[in-house]
Amino acid sequence: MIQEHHEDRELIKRIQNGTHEAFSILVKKHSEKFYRIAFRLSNNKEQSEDIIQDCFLKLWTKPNSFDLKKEVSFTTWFYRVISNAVFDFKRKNSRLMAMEDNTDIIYQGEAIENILDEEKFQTILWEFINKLPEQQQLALNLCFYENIKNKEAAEIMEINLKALESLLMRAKTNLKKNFESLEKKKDYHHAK
Amino acid sequence: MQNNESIDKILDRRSFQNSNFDILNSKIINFAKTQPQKEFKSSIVKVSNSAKIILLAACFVLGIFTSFNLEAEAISNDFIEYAYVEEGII
Repeated sequence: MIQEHHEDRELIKRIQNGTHEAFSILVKKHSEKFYRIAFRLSNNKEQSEDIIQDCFLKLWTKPNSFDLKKEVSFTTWFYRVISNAVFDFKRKNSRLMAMEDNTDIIYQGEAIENILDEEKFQTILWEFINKLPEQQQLALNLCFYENIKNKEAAEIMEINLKALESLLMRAKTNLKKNFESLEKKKDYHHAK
Repeated sequence: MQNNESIDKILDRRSFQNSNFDILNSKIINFAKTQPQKEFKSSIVKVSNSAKIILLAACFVLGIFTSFNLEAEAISNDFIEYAYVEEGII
């Protein structure tokens, strides 16, 4: 981890001196993990690829945007860059991306865990995750899907550890509430 | 929907669509080759605080000196005008 931190800083130094080869190494080394978080936040392959490309190109054209004097690691800083880029994109395109709440139509009464139609299940899950506040989405994706330690996730999000744990708990509670309210609606329709 | 464990189970089932990283990486790397870097290390000379004070003091002294000179020139002009017009000395 520490060695990787030093390697990345060395690569950034070389990028700041205009060495394209160092940029190429950095991209190959990290693109996969940054794509993963971009995809988890946007749920869209093409958007995620565009965002990754855009952020890496900005790093190449403006290499001093990463301040080597600060002790923050490259990956921590770039996770921040990527997540901000995704949320900015989503905000700018919120009208285009505005989805109707289709969960009622899609959900036809099975227990959520047992929905076998994968497409239905994924749509419901994404809609509920997408409804969470941005900070909760990011905390959930970093800690649950990326297996990033809470301490590092807190650093990425520039919050303290307790705040991160609270965000994670609230994210799961909110998701649970959404699923429960969906099940209540099912019971109501069955009773009618 | 009993507890967070079932939420974890639900979250575990979330799908993921991978990218072709060979294509994506070479796209990024090749595109960067066509883009010039906009900034290298700053070429602006950093000035220390004491140098700034010295520079400010020098400007102040220069300012006083200039204003003194201008005033002296004005007095001398006045004198010439007086000598010319009023007394017909020169």
